[in-house]
Amino acid sequence: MLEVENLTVELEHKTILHDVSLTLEPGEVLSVLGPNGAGKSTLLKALSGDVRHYHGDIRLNGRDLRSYDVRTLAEQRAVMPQKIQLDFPFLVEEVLQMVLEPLAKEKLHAQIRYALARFDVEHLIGRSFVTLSGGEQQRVQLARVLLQLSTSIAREDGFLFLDECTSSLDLAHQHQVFQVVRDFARRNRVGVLSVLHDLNLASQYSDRVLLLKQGRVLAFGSVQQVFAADQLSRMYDFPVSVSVHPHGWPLVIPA
Amino acid sequence: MRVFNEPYFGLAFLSVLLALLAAYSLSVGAIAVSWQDAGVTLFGSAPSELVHRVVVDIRLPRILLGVLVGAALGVAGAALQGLFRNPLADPGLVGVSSGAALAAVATIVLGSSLLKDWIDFSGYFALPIAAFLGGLAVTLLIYRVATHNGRTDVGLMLLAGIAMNAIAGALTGILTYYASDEELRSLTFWSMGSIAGASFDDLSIALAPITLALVVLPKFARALNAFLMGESVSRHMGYNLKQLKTAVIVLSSLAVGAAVAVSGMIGFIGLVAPHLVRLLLGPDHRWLLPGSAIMGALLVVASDMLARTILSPAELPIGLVIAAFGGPFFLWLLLQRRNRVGW
Repeated sequence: MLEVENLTVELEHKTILHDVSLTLEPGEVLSVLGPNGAGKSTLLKALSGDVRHYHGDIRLNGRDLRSYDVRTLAEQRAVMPQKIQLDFPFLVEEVLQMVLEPLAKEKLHAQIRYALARFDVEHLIGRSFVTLSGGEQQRVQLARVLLQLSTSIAREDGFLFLDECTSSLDLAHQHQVFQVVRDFARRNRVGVLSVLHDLNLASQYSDRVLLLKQGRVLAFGSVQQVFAADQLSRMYDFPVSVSVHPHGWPLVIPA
Repeated sequence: MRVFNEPYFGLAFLSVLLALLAAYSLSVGAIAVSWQDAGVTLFGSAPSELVHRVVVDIRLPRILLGVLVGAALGVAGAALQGLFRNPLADPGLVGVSSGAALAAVATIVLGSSLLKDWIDFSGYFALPIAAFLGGLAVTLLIYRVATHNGRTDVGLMLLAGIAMNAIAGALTGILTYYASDEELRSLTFWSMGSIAGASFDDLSIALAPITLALVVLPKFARALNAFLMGESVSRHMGYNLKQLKTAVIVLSSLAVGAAVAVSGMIGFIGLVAPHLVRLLLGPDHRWLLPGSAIMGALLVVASDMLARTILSPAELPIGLVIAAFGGPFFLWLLLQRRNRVGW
């Protein structure tokens, strides 16, 4: 389990996060929503171990985040950034081979194929990464991130942090990615924290939602609790109305 | 897209090519020696005293030094390019070589006065140690200037390199006013680069530091691969960045320092060798690091052969020959970058 208590982060004398508390259970998908500048990326950085100076507590599987060494941390959580710049013509297979793990060569090859197939990019295995489209690159990186976790999750609960991981994807692939991620989370008891801008994707695939505004938690709870029109309107300072999707989950429309 | 899909085969091919070229170049030079005679001489029975002296005392150390220096510059170039995440980070272009050369020149010129204690203390190794420290200082400085928040600014890196080269050039120029005639001759050698006077002494100075770099740097190959996706990404994957950066900075300075100490300023090898190897074997550092070492050795040995023969019986400094090819290659590389994605 991931526990965050009264997390406060200051960067260059500016308080980016005030007293943020949350929990992330193994197997659940938690979406973090908020307007630009709300502190979503800083929250993700703090949870990933990139921001080392913070007040409050972050505990991963019961242990203080700062007491982990990078290697052990990488066995328990993986991070998918918004954009990865790679200027050298690595093959897709070589990108996935960068994952640090103890697998034998033949076994690794099979795992790489499987990881790519999950996101519908197995046919790109021999292509040069730099020649792929933005969406293809994003799916290859997702495959890499899941591969990192699936080699070690047997031991402890795993965690997956996603930063707008569907920003370059078309509609069909956005939904495919979230289906795959949710299945993966359930099956392997992995807690997923996903920073998102698309309210309806969040509504459809999340178990719980955290709303951030100006570095403070506006609401934290189940989709049904959090997706109230007045609350969302207040968060964005923009009127929205919430109706119901034919399949039951909340559907957000600009009012 | 790649010439060799099987990297081990590519490495073997380059090694064989290097061995053949090095052996053949024993027979090339102002004094004609057939390659059969050269081969026989190498294994102990020279047809004449002259042939023995030419092949064993003059050409053999020179070729071996060429191999060593080329390997050092190639592997250091590949490692630095990984560290800066950019294929233009050549030890010559970013000023590491001129920093090393400046320190070496200072040691030569001030060795009898200001730095006398240091020379007495370190003796034989004064030059390579000074060159290593000079190279290390520049590498640290350039990295500090060009890298911020885990990102490298290529423009800043190259501009900082220009500044370093200018500073080193100015200081070297000032030092020439303190130099005696004899020292002045060796200063010219530093600025142009040469392996013509190579001796077995030079070899023994350069062998240990360069071998260390060649053996240890490849251990960081996988970490360098991940590092190309960015600092935080590779940290998230579990790679230890502090260890990686320290190793690359220290070991490449060591290799460049040792190379400069025995051969002066030979530019462009660290730029050209890794680029050719990427075309042959791809960008994966597991093959790129050893491949660049072999390719660097090949390029230096081949250029040295040219340097010996173009104006025979006179000789050109090898640095001039390489710059004549390396400069246009650099321009071609920039044009490629303009027209295509990825290096």
